[in-house]
Amino acid sequence: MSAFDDAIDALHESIDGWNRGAVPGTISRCAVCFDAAAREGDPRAAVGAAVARGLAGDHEGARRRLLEATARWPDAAGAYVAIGMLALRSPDVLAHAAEASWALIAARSLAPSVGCIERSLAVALAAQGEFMGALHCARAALAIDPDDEEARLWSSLMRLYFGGDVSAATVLAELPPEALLRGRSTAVWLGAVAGFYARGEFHEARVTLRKAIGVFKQGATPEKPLVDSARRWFRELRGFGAGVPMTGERWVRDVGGAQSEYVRTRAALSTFRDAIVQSGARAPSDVVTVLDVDSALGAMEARARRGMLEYGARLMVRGFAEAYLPMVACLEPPPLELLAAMGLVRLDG
Amino acid sequence: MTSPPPPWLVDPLPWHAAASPIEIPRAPVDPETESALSHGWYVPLFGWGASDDEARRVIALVSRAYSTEADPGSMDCLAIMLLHPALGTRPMSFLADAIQSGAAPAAWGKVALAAAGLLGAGDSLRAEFGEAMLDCPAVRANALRTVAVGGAERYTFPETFARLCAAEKEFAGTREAEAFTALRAWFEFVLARRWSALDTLREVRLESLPAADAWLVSAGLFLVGDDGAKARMTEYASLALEGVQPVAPRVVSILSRELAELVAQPWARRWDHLRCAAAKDHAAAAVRAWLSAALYETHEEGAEHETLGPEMTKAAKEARALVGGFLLDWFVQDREARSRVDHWAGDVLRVYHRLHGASMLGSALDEVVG
Repeated sequence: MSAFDDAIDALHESIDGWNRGAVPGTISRCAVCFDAAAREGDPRAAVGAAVARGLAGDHEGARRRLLEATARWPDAAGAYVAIGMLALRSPDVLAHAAEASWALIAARSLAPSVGCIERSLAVALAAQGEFMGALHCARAALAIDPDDEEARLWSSLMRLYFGGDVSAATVLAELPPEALLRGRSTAVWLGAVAGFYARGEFHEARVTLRKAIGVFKQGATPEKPLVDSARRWFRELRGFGAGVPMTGERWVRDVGGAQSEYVRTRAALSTFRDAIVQSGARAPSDVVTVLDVDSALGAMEARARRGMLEYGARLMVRGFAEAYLPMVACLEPPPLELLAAMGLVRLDG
Repeated sequence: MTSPPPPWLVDPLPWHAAASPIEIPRAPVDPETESALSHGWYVPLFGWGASDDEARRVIALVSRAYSTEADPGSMDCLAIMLLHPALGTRPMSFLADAIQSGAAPAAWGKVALAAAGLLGAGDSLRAEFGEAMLDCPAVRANALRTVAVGGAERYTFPETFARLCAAEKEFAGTREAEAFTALRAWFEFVLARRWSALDTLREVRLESLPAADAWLVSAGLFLVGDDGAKARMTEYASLALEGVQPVAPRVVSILSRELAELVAQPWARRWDHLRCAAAKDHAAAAVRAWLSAALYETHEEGAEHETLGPEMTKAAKEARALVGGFLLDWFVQDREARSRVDHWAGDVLRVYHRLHGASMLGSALDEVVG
């Protein structure tokens, strides 16, 4: 058995025994074996050695090794996938989202039509705030694998907060039981919180949040940031309110109240319009007409609606990424398909 | 009053590269004068030190620039003479020190600042000239007006606004407080299109403000088509020019022309301002509303967790950092309308400084000339 095969066995062993992190002894053995294989010139082993270190918590060391690997083997997608994966599993995921994005874009161009790369890129772009690109990637991942629940989760979140499509809330609320059957952790309940809250089912949202953070020990210091992060996001979700911005009763609150700049600008434009109508020929038609004012009113409302969806997505989707991804990184090992995209599986035919 | 001679009056004098330095530019301005000005062969304002004669010379210079037979370019020539290439702002610092030590009356400082305003000096020249006087408590408020009210030249309105906000805090509780509140509100309404500032402008008691400040407030109200704003602008302009007419006879005709241009197209001005207001990032208000609503949320998801502190998620902090601020409200995407409003504001501010200068000179005239 080669050193590379030994390393793969150790990697899978440490992943099988995953308990809020890789099994420490096994992941160390895995790193040593990958190092031995890398000395024989195997590019996959170089990536594996970095990934093993990243999973053991040495993100900076892993990143440095992976950047060296991309410089040495620029045409291999594995190192780029690994950079993206580790960046999305880092504790400060928003700070590393841009790096994850470029690495996964490079990986996608080297290995097109790979579902897990498209899905990871969707997550990275969403965390970065590039919502339209993220939505495209999530849809591409779903086109490759319609049962990809993670891609459905992110696609629905962006439809809800960036597109203002409340029907996506139902998908979010119904997703977790299915995902749990597929072996996902309880972190997936966090997406359902957004779904329930958007539908105005506040009690269910609170219960679901408890399901998401219930696995963590109360007051346990290493896990407290994860719990607090989820609770902060939930608090901001409540401040954001149910439904879609600028609809129904939310409208006045969303634009900042009855004395807001938006309301007063509308009032000033309406007064100006009345003044033009009353002035007759005194208002020079080459300067302004009633139609111009109506057009300005329409454009202002359209811009405000679009802007609110942008800000809403920036607040809720990125906040979700900040809370959800570290929880997933803690509770779940890297998916096997991503390891396969890095070439870290044994091909036994 | 006597003050010691300034340290630069030693041989060779900074302006003695020429046989005879210009003290008062000739009218009409000839190539010889222009050449002398470009080479620094002139005595800057208060170049001979902080003395009564110098204060009188400054008034004479302004008077000559605004005399009926003056060359149209004489004001620009005189504006060059505010500072000297070899001395920079030293004469003004020297004058400020003399006023602070009691060796010179505050009226001389007013005369100097008035000259900068009346001559229509640009923002940067006026700021450089007035900066030295800021440390002088007797003329600080006027120096702050000279330095901080501007921004059209280099589009530094946000910085100007920040400075006015600081000045408003500084003068809180003094008799200058209302004037600086009005100045700040003018910037906030005209350039950031904030309606709360319009309320402030409407609440200001115009009769308690210096004439130039009251004129500026009226110009702000003119933008919303306020009844009588134009008449008030004329009234306060006349009030500001009242004392200075005997020494600067042409000032009324020059300012009348500039004022007429400012109020020439009320519909177009109001429409441009409204277009800018409509182009603002109104959605930004939503983030503030959402986050403040979040902080007031008290219902926790269970008693087993301790209460969360007010800290927000990183995403929320970043979203909030994108909103608010003068810059965002001023720099709207409707470039055409913004540029026209900015240009109009620049013209208004230039007239404001002329009026403020005239009003200062008028009040200092008796004390200096007697």
